[in-house]
Amino acid sequence: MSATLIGPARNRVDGRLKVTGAAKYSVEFEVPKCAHGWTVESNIAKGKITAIDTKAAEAAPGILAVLTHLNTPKFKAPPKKDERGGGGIRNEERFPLSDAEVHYAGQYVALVVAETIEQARHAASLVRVSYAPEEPLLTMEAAGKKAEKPKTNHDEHVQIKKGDVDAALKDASLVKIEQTYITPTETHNPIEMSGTIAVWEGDQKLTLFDATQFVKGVQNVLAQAFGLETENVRIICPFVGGAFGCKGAVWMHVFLAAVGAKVARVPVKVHVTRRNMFVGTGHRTPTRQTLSLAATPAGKLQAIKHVSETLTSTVGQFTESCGARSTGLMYESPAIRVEETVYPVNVATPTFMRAPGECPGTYALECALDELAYVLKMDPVALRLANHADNHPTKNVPFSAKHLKEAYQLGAEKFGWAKRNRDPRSMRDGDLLMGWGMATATYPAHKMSAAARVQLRANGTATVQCATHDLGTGAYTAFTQISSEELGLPFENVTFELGKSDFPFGPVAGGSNSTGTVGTAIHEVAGLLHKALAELAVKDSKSPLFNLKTDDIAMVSPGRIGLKTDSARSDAYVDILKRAGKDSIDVQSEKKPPEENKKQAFQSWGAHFCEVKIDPFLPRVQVTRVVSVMNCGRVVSAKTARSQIIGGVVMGIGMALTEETSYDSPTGLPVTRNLADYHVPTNADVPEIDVAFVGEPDFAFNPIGARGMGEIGITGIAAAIANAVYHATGKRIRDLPITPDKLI
Amino acid sequence: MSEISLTVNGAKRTVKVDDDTPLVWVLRDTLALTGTKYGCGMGVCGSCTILENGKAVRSCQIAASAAKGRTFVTIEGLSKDASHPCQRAWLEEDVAQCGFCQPGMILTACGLLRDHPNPTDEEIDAAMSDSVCRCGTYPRMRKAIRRAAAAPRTQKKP
Amino acid sequence: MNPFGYSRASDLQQAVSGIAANPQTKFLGGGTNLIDLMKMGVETPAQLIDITRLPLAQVEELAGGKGLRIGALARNSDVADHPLIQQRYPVLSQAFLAGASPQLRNMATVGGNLMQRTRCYYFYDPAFPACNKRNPGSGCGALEGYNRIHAILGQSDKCIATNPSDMNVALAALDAVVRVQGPKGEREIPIADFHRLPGNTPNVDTNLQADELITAVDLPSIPFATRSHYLKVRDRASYAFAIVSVAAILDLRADGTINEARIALGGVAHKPWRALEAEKKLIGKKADEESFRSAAETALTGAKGHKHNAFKIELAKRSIIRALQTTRALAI
Repeated sequence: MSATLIGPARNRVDGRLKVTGAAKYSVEFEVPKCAHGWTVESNIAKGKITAIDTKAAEAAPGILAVLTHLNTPKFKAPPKKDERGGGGIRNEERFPLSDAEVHYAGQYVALVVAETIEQARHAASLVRVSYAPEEPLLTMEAAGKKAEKPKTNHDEHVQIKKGDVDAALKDASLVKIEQTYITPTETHNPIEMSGTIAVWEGDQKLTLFDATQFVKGVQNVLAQAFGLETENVRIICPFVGGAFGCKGAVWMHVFLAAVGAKVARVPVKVHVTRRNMFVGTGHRTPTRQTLSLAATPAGKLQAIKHVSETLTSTVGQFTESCGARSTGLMYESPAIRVEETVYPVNVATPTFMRAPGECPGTYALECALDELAYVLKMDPVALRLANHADNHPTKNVPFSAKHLKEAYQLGAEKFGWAKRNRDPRSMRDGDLLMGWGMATATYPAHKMSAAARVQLRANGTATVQCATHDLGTGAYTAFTQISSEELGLPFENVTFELGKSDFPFGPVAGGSNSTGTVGTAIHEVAGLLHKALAELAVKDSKSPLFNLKTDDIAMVSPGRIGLKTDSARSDAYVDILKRAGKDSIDVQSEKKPPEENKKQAFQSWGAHFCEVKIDPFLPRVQVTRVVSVMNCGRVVSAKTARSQIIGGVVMGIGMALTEETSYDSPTGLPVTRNLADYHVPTNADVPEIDVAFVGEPDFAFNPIGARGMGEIGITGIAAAIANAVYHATGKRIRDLPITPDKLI
Repeated sequence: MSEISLTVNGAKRTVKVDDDTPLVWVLRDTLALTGTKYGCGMGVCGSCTILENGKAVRSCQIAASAAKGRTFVTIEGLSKDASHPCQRAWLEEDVAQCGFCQPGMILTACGLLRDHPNPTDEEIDAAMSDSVCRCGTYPRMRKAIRRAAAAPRTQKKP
Repeated sequence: MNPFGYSRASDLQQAVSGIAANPQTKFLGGGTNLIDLMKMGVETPAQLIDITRLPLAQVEELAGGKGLRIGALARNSDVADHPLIQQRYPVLSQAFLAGASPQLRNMATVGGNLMQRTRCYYFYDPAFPACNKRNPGSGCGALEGYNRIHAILGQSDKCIATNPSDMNVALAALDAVVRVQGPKGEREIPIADFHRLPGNTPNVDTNLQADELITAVDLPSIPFATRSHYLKVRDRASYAFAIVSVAAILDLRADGTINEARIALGGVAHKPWRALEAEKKLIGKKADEESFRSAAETALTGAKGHKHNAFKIELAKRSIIRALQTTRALAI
């Protein structure tokens, strides 16, 4: 793999399919005689269904089945979490329509299956449900007694204690701040809504066209739920219209499509409505975070205490690790404490949303640092440099290929940070207040398991396959690029295929792991291919490699294997295959646990600088300029990587300024439950965003040198904006989003 | 159910659908023109945008019964080989990410360029605020529109 | 959606007699609001009469220089771009351009915009049991619920919904007249009487009768309306309903004092809110900060906030001041 920081700037390979409307997303597959499912949802947050009248619905035209908890076949209980083998993610642990209990508002209580979608929608409106409501727990305060402090989250310790935080926070010689920051419920809202088409062949074979970030996970979970052989469940998903985390777990509509099709004995499509995307496919939990910092007058941190409180549901466990994933690793400090408390409430189950934990965590910590910088009368960049961590602050091993200082420097230069007047309300553009803010971005480098298959043909073309996903991330392009480099074939000669459970294992496309994980699998399968070619060549008397040891042979130049010690002695792939009389050769790598390097810590870094302008009289914040400099190891595919960072920043603008899923307090139903009331950024909200990359490939992490790109862009940006708002107005808004009412 | 005739991408099509079915579902489910996307069903997201007489309209806001006798162009009708100036500009700027909102975005841009062949930044902002992209393609989209506006008009725009 | 019958009216008489024959009928214009509400199950008409082919889309001069007539089926975008509207009633053109999005404006009609229903969450989503507007007698979910976008003026304990239209606010400032056709013939409804306050019957939005069809909106000749401005405050840069909006018109004398002023507010009440007392207060005053501030205070007299929307009172005052400042500064 190339040692250059930034790979080729190619346009995405699937661009043409996407601008002509030819890219097929999951629910767009044409399945003959496909019926439509429409759901009925509870409008109470807790209680029991006492009666459910489906007569009118059943009598409506075109109805094939009406499923409720009274007649839905039972799903097979899943094995315990750690015994699930092939993986698969469930955030809501309950199966749909499994009993009369209601655990949250918007819970599916019936599924109507009809020949046309309009028939299904109409009949669903005829289902009458009676409830015995109970008092729901909807807030942290209400759920206080049930609060839990999880020790770990996905094996990582989330209650962190290092040094004596309390002593430092009481030390009169230190400068201190303590503040509480609030983030609301946020909802992913990819423009492609979730959806599933379920097709049974007999009662043992099931095919799902499903919008998912994890085809192998859906396969495994569905096989277990219906008691099927894993290979008899096929998942197909060549394109995903955005996901951001909400298509990682298997949600209730997937089971409903499959069971609806089983009962109605026809293929069934369940396309989640936008309204239900606010309930049934997860959301980012609201957070309340209290940061206490103590520093020397020179700005050296002596203690950071990060107490975070989040919600989960009563039917699923999800922890948004705000403190562990920010304060736990970002700055050097002799004392660090992280406490995380999770409250189970009668609200639908939250899930990972782009940088779960890091995103709200960096918002709070990076705002707190800005507040501290003002108390210390220090430049915010200088404060961060003074507390830069060369070593992981709690694991005490060095960070690999960390180039955060360069990111600050380049970002500050590009932005013109030196011209900033530190005082709030000191900078103007005409009548508008102008503010400049900055923050650090960070996201860990995650590594999972994957395998890949390659077919090399005698005409010099190859197809590489892995059950991975392209959520719009540019995976098709990046993996074609990696395959081209690793196999040693021209980019145009390589086809990369993904999105099918028939392919070798690919992990969930989440946690920015795909490029490195699948890239490593491609690296391995390329090595196997070269070895297989070597085995043919050494047996071939016409080959220059005849009778050599295969271990001495490797790829020496694109399209050729040869002697490692004498690259002039080589043979072309196509010649080897032709002489062996083979049209093609197939090789597959094995899925194995990733190699762990415990001697170093692997983490991506970045710095955001942003400018806001605000009318002081009618204050609405407009972000007018952003510079984001990232240090993520190798940038495999220059254009798609840049787009990923821009995308994170844009979503961060929404987080900072406009996005909030609000709930009605008596019913627990979301009120801002459509794209007119839940404000994602539109074109006019988004300025030009200048993205640059610094650093070097991180080959200590994986053979690709890449640490991933999907999440880091959204970390820190909300803080950078909130800090800029303070700089512009002198008002510190500590609860997001910063809407006009909070600034008036 | 009624029989409804309409013209899509130059061809007359007759479909048997429920009167109240939104046109977007007729296009996607009945005519298999899945390039027209379904993103909210309430006229907010813009991904179901199609052209009627060169103007961008939302196909989720038109009931099948009201579409009777009307003429529409979908993304598939713009060109199949991405040769339309807007599609070309979109490719050259590598605008798409997940791609789901992009057919609607491209057709919205076509509507804009028909009325404003050389749009100002303000006109681009106003027209493109019609559609929502969650991947954050807006900066490249603006570049693509400027590029398409500057492109020689060798092809008649629908 | 609830299944419904569909017919297309070929003339006005047919449309009006069609609706008189069946009270469960609705007219379908641009459909941008009605189709939505039908999908949500809020509106369940048994019959739709498509009126889009009726010849009601013209913008024309009224005889004797009495103003302009806008056909009820004129598209929002066409009215916004119409040169006579832009020249004589810039506040109306600006209000259209501030509303919705270009594509929706291409579809939405003037008549439909007048009939646009509230965006109150509790009305729009039948999952909420309480809404007196959707289901009279069921209560008001917003009163004790999430009410950030709700009314601060003219509300009742039965309903705190707001009228979401931008156009209506400008029409209120312009003293527009709504022309309607019923079975007994034509009548005129001044805009001030067209929309209602909620009172005890929030289910009735307007004083249009069930068997009447809006045919046109007349704009009286107001020479000084060339000095007018529409200000919209919203949560994001574009494409959002107003938190507060202001339509302002100023008639300035040569000495800089105010001869006449018009102020209408949007996003604050169940109908476009004309601030008549504030307008009176401005007559004869200098067009300065102090007068504007005092007018803004007057306009918001009696305003009442709820748990999440009390900020609108100050925001509305500031919006009035800013709208008047901008209007004063226009080079005419």
